[in-house]
Amino acid sequence: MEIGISSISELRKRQDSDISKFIFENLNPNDARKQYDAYSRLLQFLLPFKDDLTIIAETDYIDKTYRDLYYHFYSTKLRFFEKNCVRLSFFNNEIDDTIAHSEDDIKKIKKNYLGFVVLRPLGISCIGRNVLSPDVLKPTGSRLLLCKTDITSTVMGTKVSVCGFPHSSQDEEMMTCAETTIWSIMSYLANRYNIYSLPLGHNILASLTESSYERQTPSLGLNFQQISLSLQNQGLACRVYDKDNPKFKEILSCYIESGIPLALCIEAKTFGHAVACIGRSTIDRNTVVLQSVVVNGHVYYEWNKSIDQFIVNDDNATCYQVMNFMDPCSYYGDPEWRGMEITHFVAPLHQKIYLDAEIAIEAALDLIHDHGYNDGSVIRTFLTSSRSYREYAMTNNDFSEKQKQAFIELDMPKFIWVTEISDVASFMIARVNDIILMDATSGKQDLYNSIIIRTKDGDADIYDKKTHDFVTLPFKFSQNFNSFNNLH
Amino acid sequence: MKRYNVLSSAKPSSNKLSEEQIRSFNSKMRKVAIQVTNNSRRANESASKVMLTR
Repeated sequence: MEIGISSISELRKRQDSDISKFIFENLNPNDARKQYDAYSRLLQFLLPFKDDLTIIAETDYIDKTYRDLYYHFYSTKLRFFEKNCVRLSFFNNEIDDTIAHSEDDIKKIKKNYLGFVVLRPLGISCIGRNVLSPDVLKPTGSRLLLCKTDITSTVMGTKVSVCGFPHSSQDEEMMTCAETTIWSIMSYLANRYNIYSLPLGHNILASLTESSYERQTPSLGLNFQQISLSLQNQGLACRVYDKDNPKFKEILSCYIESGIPLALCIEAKTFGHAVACIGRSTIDRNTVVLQSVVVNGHVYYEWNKSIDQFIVNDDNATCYQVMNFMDPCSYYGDPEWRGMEITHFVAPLHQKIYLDAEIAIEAALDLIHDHGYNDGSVIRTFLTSSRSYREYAMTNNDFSEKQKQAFIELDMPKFIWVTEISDVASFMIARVNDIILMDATSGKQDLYNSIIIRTKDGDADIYDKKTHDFVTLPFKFSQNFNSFNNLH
Repeated sequence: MKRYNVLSSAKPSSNKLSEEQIRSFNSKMRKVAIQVTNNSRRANESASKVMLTR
């Protein structure tokens, strides 16, 4: 392996700069066309990146995801394909070409690491597995709130870690956008939760072998049902929603607010596309008052209806694209991709989440009405794990010791539906006045008993398993506390 | 031994819905569940022929 250190601005300057020659002559020796195609594609990928980043390029990199494509597909072709990749690691400008291997240098490498991009020797399809911190991108007006997880790697022999969401481009032959979307979501889940396995291209195809009536390679793409089936076969319990569902956007927002990445199916008249939806951008909270819902003459505002811009990992673009719900591929800037429509999305859920989002949203709204919460309340419903919620409670300085203890003692399933209720003034500063927690393992029968805890005006009612009835705790709950966040 | 048990001193709730309201709530949610089933069936019947490739 050889190592080259330079800056992103040097790489962008021209194809015959030292760093460009170092990368692309190692990636595709003696193949000028592939070198040119790969250089052009990388430039396009790096377009939204900050100008002052440092790049460390490592040659002869063995990437498990590319090797999987190579051994299952490219090595079977007549024409020669390289089997090694080049890995680019990104740092902020505190790292420069004086970096070496002293203890201080290693600390600097770990501290300033911003992620990696694997370059595959596939010409125009060179962008392979990459995990990048959103900090590599030039700042825009709004912040990105993402499903993120720590993913480890190495650079110059040092173990490093980056917090991001996995991305890759498609190679157009074995993996199209649909398989890449499945890979991206499974890769995130496997890095975050040890109950899932790291996906490889051939595993994704294998998960669909029994239900395929045509050959799988070269890939002709997948439809939304095959995406769902593949995720199911990898241990998830999927729900599929279509655009004719009256709560389509609201449910999509609700899952994103819950930190659950979704596979979006986007269609034009003549072709279809799939992307992983992984977050949303921050928006003006004032817009929530535009999204009222009336229940028996009482007006409430629903946060999940307010979100219009989501963050997607699209295999044709750089990671973390801002997607407009109404014109999902407008960031292409290409007339062919304008006016497309999200027709379905697949929500890959944990197997112990039974209570559907539609019922949880509707139940929360009815409970708020029936229990007489104030008109004009802002409602935010999402799913989370009881572990995450308890951790939030334990670290929330707005909760008393007794409140924290109550959250520990309450019986909770692995996942809970949370509804935060705020008056508009509190909501504007991300504060909450009351909560309703519901059991996500509950079903259609006796849904009222699925309430775990409900607070109102400082009183907290909890379900008592001995009497199968509700009891009120003998101490007051905080009526103004920080909201919970699944996205960071 | 120190024991933590803040839930044990809770008193029967006077804030919960009446039995009639609870029955009405549960009944409405069962209807929502039927709607969810219908939505799910429609989503699957809408099986788009478009392959997601681009």
